This record gives sequence, C-alpha cells and structure tokens, in this order.
Amino acid sequence: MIGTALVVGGTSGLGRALAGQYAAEGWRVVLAGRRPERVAAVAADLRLRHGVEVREVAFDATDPAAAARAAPDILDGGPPDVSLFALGDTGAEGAFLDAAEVARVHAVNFGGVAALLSHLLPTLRHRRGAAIAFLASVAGDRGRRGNFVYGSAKAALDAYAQGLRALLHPEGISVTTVKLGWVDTRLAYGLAPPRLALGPERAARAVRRAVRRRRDVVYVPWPWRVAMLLLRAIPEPIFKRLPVP
Amino acid sequence: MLYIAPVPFRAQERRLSGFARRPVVRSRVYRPEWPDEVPAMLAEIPESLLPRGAGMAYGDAALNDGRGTLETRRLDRFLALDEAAATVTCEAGVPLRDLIRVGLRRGLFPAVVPGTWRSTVGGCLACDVHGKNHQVAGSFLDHVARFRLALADGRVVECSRQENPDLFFATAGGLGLTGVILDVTLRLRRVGSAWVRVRRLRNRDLDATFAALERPEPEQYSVAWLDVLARGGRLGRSVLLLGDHAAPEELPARRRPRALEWSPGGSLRLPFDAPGGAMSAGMVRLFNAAFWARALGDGAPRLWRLRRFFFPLEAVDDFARLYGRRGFVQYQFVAPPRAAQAVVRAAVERLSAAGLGSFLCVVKRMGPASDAPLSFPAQGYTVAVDLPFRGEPLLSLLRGLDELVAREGGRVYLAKDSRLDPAFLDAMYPRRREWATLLDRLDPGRRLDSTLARRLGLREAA
Repeated sequence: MIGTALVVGGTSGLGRALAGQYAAEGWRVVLAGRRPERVAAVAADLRLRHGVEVREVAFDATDPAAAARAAPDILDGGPPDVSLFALGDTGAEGAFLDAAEVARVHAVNFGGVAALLSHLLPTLRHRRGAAIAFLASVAGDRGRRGNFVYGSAKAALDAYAQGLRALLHPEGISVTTVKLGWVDTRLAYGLAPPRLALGPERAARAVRRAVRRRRDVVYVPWPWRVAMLLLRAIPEPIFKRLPVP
Repeated sequence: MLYIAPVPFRAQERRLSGFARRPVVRSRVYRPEWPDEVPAMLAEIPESLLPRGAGMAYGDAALNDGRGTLETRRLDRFLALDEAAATVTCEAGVPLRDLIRVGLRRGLFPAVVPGTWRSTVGGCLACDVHGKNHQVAGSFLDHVARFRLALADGRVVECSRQENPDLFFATAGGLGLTGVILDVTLRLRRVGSAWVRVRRLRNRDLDATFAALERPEPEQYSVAWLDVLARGGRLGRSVLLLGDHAAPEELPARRRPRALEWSPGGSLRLPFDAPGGAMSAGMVRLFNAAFWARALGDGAPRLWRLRRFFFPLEAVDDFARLYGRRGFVQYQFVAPPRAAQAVVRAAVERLSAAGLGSFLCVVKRMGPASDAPLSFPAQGYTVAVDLPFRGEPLLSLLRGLDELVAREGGRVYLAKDSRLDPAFLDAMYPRRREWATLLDRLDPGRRLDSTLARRLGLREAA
C-alpha cells in the first residue's frame, strides 16, 4: 500500500529515519517540525533520495497558537494514513527547578501533541484504517529522580494514547504507543552506552513494524519491556531508597 | 546534580582506528547533527578536534588520540541536484554509496571514486582521493566546484577556485586540518548504465606489465593487479584491468530497460577476526593463482556490475578483519615518470623477496598533479600494496622503500600511512611548509590537530 505519512518532529534523528523509510516505499510524506529551514533540508533530502512528494509544515509544539495554524496545512492533501509523533526532548537535568523548562519539556513531549491532535482528530477520526503512533519513552513508565519532568510528560502522553486508543477503536483506527529505550540519536548521545543504543534506522524499522501490525504498546528495543516490568514491580517504599538515577 | 550538556558538546569516549585497524586510540567523539552546530563546537569545545567521516583512512590520518574527534556522519543530507548541469550539493558526511544510489538512476556517477564506497564526500576531499581513471580524470578535487568550510575559530567560509583559493587547495589533501568541511558541490559524470565493460589482459612479467600500462587504450579506467608472490621469470606478472561505463545498447536486451538500476549486491559478514593465517603467503598464493587463471581468454570484453569493478572489497563486510587482530599496513607511493619504472621494479623485487604475502597489490599510471600542496596524486606510477602487520621486519622493509621513493622525488600517500619517518616528509611534499604557514595563520592555537600531524610534525612551519 502507498499512502501518506505524517511525521511530526520529522527533523529528529528517528523522525527523519521514519520519513525516509516510508518515502523509500513511495509514500507521500508530510514533514512537520519546529525550524522551517531544517524541515526544508530534510524534505529536500527525501525528495532527492526517493523522488517522492514531501510537504513541509512549520509546527512549534511550544507555541500555543501553532497547532491551529499547522493543522490545515497538514490536512491539505487529505488526512494522512499514518500519523507519527516523533518529537521529544529530555530537557536539561535539574529542569524541575526551572518553570520555563518544565513548561517547554511538557509542551514538546505532550502538550503540543495533544493540542495538534485536537485540530486533526475531527478529520482524522473518520479515516477508517488510519494509524496513529506516539513515540513515548521508558522514562514514562516510572518516575525516576534523574528525569522526572521528562518522564511525567511521557507518562501523560502514555495515558492520552490509552484513552485515544479506546476512543478510536470502534472507528477502525489504531493507536500505537512506542516506548523507546536508548536510540542512537541526539537525546541519548554521550549518555547511553554506545553498544546498547539502537541505530535510528533499525529503531525506525521496529516502529514501522509495530504500526503495520497495529500493535497497542511496544518497547523498542524489546528487552526494555522486561527491564521496565521489573522496575515497575518494585514497591514505592523500596524504590525511593534505591540508587536508580 | 549532574549537568547534561547540550548535545553538540556531549562526547562519547570511544576506541577508534583507521581501516587497517592499527593504531587503535582513545578519543572523545563529538557528533553534530546539523552543519550549523559545527561553528559553535569549534569555538567552544576545550580540546583540539579532528573532523572524521567514515574513518576509512588506513592509518592515523583520521585519529586524534587522547583529544577530540568531530564525527560528520550525521551530516548526510543531499541539498540540491541539478540534472541538467550534472552537479550535486550535499553535506560532507554523505557516503559515496548514497551518492551513487541517488545519482545512478539519473544517469550520473561520481567522476572519481576510490576503492571503497563507504568514504564520505568530505573525507574524499580531505584526502584528495583518486581512482582508476586518474590519468584522464584527475583527482577528486578536479570535480569539486565549491565547498563550505568551518575554520578553527568557528568562522564559516565559502571556498572555490575563485573565492578563498588558498583554502580551497589547502583543504584538498589537507587531512581535515584546515577546518570542517560542511557541504560540497560536485560535478558528476554522465553514464549510460550501472554496468562496466571490462577487459582483462594478462602480462607475464614486469616488463609486460609496464608495456601494457604505457599502451594507449580507449578505456578511461585502468589498473594492474600484480602478483607480488611471483618470482624469477614471472616477477611482476599482472592482470591489467581496463574498464569503461557501458552504454545501454551494450547490455543484453533483457537488462536494457533497467540499465541504470542500482544493485549493490549482498556482502559477506565476518562475525569475528580471521585467525592469523587467513592472509598467509599460501592463501594469498592460491588467491593470486585463481585471479590469474580467471583472466584467461584475454581481451574479450565482459560486463561487470559497478561494485565488482570499483569496490571489490565491499564484497566482504569488514575486509580488514581478514588480516586478524594485528591489522595490516597499506603502503602506497607514487614515483615520477623518469624514475617510475626503476622504483616500481625495485619495490616489487623487495616485496617479492620478503615474501610477506600481499593480498592486494595494484599498479597504476597517474596523470598530472593538482595544485593542492598536500595532494598525493602526481604524474608517474603508483603502487599500492596491503601487507599483514609483522612488526619490525615489515617496518624496516618499508623504511627502505621510503628512502628510495623520497630520493627519486616520489611520495607516499599520507591517508594510508601510520609509520612514515618524518625525516622524509619534506622531500616527499616540498610544498608542505607553505601549507603549514597558512594553517599557522588560520589556527595558531592548533585547535585542529591529529595523531598523524603530531607524529609527522605536519604542521611545523619553521
């Protein structure tokens, strides 16, 4: 099947890899991102490599007015068959002491996504067979002292996706939550052990497989499912004393 | 509370080596995701840096031990392609493989390619690589229209033959020490198919090899595979490989509709290092005998896929692993026309007598040199040979060859080097000081540095 793929956060390492893999199969791509010149650069690259139609949309998740502006641009060529939300930012450590940073991290990871969808869903929900995927994080599975501003935003995204999944199930629209562990993109660079970080192309293939199979929740790479199962099982009175970063 | 630096300044501590797997060094690797991050990195990272693309230089040219490496592999976007003018503009980290993939279906192919398609465009320029067509096409630089360079102080300058020509030429062959190449505009060659029409001619000894290389042939690509283990009357026997891009009409009818279709082919993956014996003299002798035998039926043109002709080593995923844990040394020199045959003969005799078991030894005739002061290619003959690393006997053999090459006005290829004695450097690269003086002016604090530069004193201007 050849359709249209929307990638919000399309200039991120994983977003670009996802857009590239859809484009390689001949899909039309709608690329949304914060910085227009970067969106243009990734779009030009996709056109030259794959000879497909790529539409560029400016969307800044931290700008409350952006969703209303971006939605009509995104829907211009009809509702996308696959909508991928690939934005994310862990923020600076110590973000919990910085109100502006808290607001920004929450907007990028959750608020902006929900705002954009509020404008897309009236059209999208009638597109039987469509697929929506959120790139969440294992950080949302359990709040940890090292990154709980980020984790709380991804946890919000997780809960949002659960509700949306139930809502759209009768309409024949799948909602996939991808909980990412370490992927070798800028977020993890220099933090994750190099051998344990999944390359963006492989991570993108895993995401696409999950979307194609209309899975509800997947962990990428998969061993994180086990790791998080164990981590979540620890009772809070014990967990709070553990030196988990 | 741990502070997490913004990504451009975050480093990954890694063990790095060149393609020949020696030496291996530790370095902090910084990895920009966008070209506009590079100037700030150059201005603010508090240690010396060396740009590195795919790390395909054989020795220590792309290493900066104990200091910083600026890896450009994520700068791999195509920016523009003009089919009418046959030019492409891309970021410096684009590997040739991607360039071929994107160009070929439009009937375009890089005008000059080295022996691997993993090299990045920036790396090809920084080493000013050459291919099997140097005689007619020149080096990589000859097909570069312009590029953008981030200097040591973070300034970004446009370089071409008209604009900043001194930097334009200093960067080609400059081994990353003039700055970080951000994007490059290349002129490509028009080709009619993804196939190469190949002729193989057997030459029974060194005289026959020279005669074959001197003979004018219609093909633009020409290289001789030499059997270093052949001795006595068969010393210097070789197979001359001649090739040119096939026109669609030359293909069998069933292939013609998809003449330009890209077919990279599969590759064999080595899950572990080969045991030391994989490249022993006996194994190499077997390989060379087979290579010689397969070239039988002289002269009849055949059609080969691009990879088989240009990038035979890509058939093995990690070719260097065949040499085992100790790695190998690649030695390449060029000798000027008046002395070329004598130097090549002496080199082949010495290599043959040493019996070190070279898997790959190629001899090519080279065309005129470019205007770049540190560029390797020069008129004459070049020999490139792979030798498994065997410690002191090998090093002293190569030192003897250095002496001979330097005395006759030749030079060794720095992008393949890890052991040259600095005493020979200025004889081999007479314009080096001029280059080092320019660098001193641009980068007095040596923000850009490399293991090779320190080992050879490449940047010493005085």
